[in-house]
Amino acid sequence: MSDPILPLLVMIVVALLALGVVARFLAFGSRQAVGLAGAGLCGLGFMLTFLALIVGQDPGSMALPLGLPGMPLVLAFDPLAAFFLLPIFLTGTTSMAFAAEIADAAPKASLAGLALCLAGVVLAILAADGVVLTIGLAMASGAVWAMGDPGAGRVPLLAATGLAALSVLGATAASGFGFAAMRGHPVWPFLFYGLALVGPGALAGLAPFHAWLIPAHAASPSRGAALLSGAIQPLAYYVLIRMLLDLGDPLAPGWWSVPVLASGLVTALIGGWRGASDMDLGASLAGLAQRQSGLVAIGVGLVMVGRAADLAGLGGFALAAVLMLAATQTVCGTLAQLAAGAVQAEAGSRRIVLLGGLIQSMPVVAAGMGAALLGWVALPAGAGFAAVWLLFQALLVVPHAPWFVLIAAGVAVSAALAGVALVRIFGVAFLGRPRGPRAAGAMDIARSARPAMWALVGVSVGIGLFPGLFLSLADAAVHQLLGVWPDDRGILFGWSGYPVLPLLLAAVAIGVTVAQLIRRSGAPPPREAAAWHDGFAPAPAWLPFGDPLTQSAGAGFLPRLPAIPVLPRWRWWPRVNWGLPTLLVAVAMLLIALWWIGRA
Amino acid sequence: MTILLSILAQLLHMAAVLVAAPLLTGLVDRLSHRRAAPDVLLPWNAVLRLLRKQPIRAIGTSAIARGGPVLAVTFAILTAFLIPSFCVGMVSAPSADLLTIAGLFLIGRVVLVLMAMDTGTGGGAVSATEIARLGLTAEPVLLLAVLAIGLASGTGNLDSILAMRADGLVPGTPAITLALAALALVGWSYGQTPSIDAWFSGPDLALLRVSDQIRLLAWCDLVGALALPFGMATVTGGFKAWVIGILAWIGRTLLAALLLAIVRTVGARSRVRTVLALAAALCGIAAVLAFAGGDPT
Repeated sequence: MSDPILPLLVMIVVALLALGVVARFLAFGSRQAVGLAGAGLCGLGFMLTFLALIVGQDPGSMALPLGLPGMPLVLAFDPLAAFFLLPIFLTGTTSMAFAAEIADAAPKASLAGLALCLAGVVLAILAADGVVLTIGLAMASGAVWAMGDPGAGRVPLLAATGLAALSVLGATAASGFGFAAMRGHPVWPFLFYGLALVGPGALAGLAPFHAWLIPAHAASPSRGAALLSGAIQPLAYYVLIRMLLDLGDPLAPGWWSVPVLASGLVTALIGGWRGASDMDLGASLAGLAQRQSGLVAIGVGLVMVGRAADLAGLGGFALAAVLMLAATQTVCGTLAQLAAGAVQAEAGSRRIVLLGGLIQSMPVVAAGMGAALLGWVALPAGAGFAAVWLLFQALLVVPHAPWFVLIAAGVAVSAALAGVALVRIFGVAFLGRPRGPRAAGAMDIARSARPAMWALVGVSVGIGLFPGLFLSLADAAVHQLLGVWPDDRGILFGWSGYPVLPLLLAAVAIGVTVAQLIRRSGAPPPREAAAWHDGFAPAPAWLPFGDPLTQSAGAGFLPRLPAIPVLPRWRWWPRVNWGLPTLLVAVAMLLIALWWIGRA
Repeated sequence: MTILLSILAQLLHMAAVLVAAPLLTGLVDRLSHRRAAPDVLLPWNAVLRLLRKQPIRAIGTSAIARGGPVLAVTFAILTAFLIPSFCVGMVSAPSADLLTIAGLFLIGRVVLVLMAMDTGTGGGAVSATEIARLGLTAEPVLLLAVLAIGLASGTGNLDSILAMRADGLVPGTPAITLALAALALVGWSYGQTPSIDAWFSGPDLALLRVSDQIRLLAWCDLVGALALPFGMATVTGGFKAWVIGILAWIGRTLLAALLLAIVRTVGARSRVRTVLALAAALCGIAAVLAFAGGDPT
């Protein structure tokens, strides 16, 4: 089945590349034409991948007629790749269609960036050797980097990408780059493990390389931030899973999971805290995205624990959680940052203290933001709850050791932080009264761009409502990584387990009954009156939006996260951005690794 | 036959909970006042009176504030639907997952906060911030306590745990005891959350109050049934067992009302945060014990 699909996917990559080049460097082709062509290509890719997942294909590979003699570049299409490609193609379609309809300052160039980034991500996911993976990574991140404003915020992205690319190259170099030859037994497994953790971890924003992610989001335009959250981060998860769980040593000792778990724990807490305390809308959303990275790392760590302890159930739950988190991140990251971009364009700011009341003027954007937040945080009927539920099921079958309490407590605290982030972001920016004229006069996104946003809303809500159905798409990937077919999802998400659909139906029935009872209770229809301000006088005429100080500014929920100096700054080098030292260290590490290889 | 009985038990359970929820609040009020005590039926009267009044809504509030009261009461009823009162094995039994129940308590809190923010007033924002900050401590404790109970009893399903507890299969290990104490303290903190009544009126206010009352009763049922699983009936246990189960449930609820009244009069001045910190500590110990314990099966 995969034989015709892989060449078609390669053609889609090539076409996206060509589209990006045309849009960037050639004068012809309107913005809309480029966007719709890109959306069509991604939609085709989505259908192909979906078909492959439904039918169930055998892993297939092909060698490109490129590369050094004796070392061709190899691509492969297996269930894990298919499962990651599916949401990427979906968000690619919608963000291309969205970009085609929404005009902003640098339209065609950013469309080119979008096409190139998607081509890079798809190439990296299809890669079956270290070189292609590195090329794809570099292309994807480079496209996002080129979209950003020139400034300090762009450098860390480059550093993280460089670190990831060098780690991938270094880790696979010793085994001759090809994935098929090294699967399960890479040369120097510990070095492989370390590089596989550091490189993709840095790109995913995992501690201790977490500091760059939120400034990089803030420095990118909304479309770039959407790619960072919805394409680069899931790509980093993919590389992490591919290298640690697929290529890495399956018989690795249990303590190898400890750095992964610790890093994920710290990241989940820091990300949640930033989400609940940052005053910038984009940065808060980036914090939630970073928390997702942390949860993914915790899940990967739990899979490693399960493998080491030979507990298939533990691995199954944790891997399902990881795959769900990754797909959710693709959808919600894109959706949230696109909505934040629309808010910035219309209401003039991403600072939440200047917004307010946007649910009245921008209902579609509010629905988009609400769906994205619901997909991230752990509230029932959202995808985030299903993922956290699966993580807790994994913790219920974890080998009994007291230190797992730290993991459980971390996940619980992070869930609470994300809940606060939800009520703060949505409550301050979208509810209440507008805090200024720009917020009051905001218009919703263009009618033609709404279907794209509604599609993402539908997918985000759908994953939450049908987690079992969605995870059945991942069954082949779970089998590929763990060697066992997962249990029937109907037991987990049907009437027992986490019974989301029956409970939702019950909720609808109860809600309708209550509403009907209220309607028939004989109360007169509601009357509108000025809000009760605890007896204070109404705002004077020069404050037409009321006194801004009488509404929450969103600052009182949590104090700002104190800066934790994780990486020491180089004080003897004034004005240095820490990204550069990271890059230098990475280069040095790679040189040492290459010297080591050459010596042997 | 069993399925019919389980449906009957579920209906009886829901009716009992809906009737008893305002009564529990009224009883706690009655018990915590020595002189000029209000009538036990006062909350019921208030609800019925409010339902006939005209609701007044602040200009500029959105669908969140308009639909919020119905949502709040829906989630409260759904929570009560899953937590057994007098009998295990009801229709909802397979769905009574402890984490889901915890999630339903959380979503109730989120709805409250969003409604308070939507009023667009200073007082509403202060209440919202305070509720959210309390949730920051209470929710991890709730999740961790649920996990500790699940680990100590080997399943995450409340109905199975209660059935096993009633049969004496799950002994009251220190982990379960501590986790229950933590849960009780968290429940007390829920009762201390700031009120957002000032911005709602008429049926909206009635629904908000009823949702608070149902949530309080559901919490008492959860902790009470786990702590004192005596007399819990099974669906097929027969008429006598059901009567015993109902009597045991009434007894547990009366005891809960007494304890709540004592806590309210004696501990009125204690800071919520201190109590929550205590709950967190208890829960942490419980979780360590549960994780360190042997094979749950």
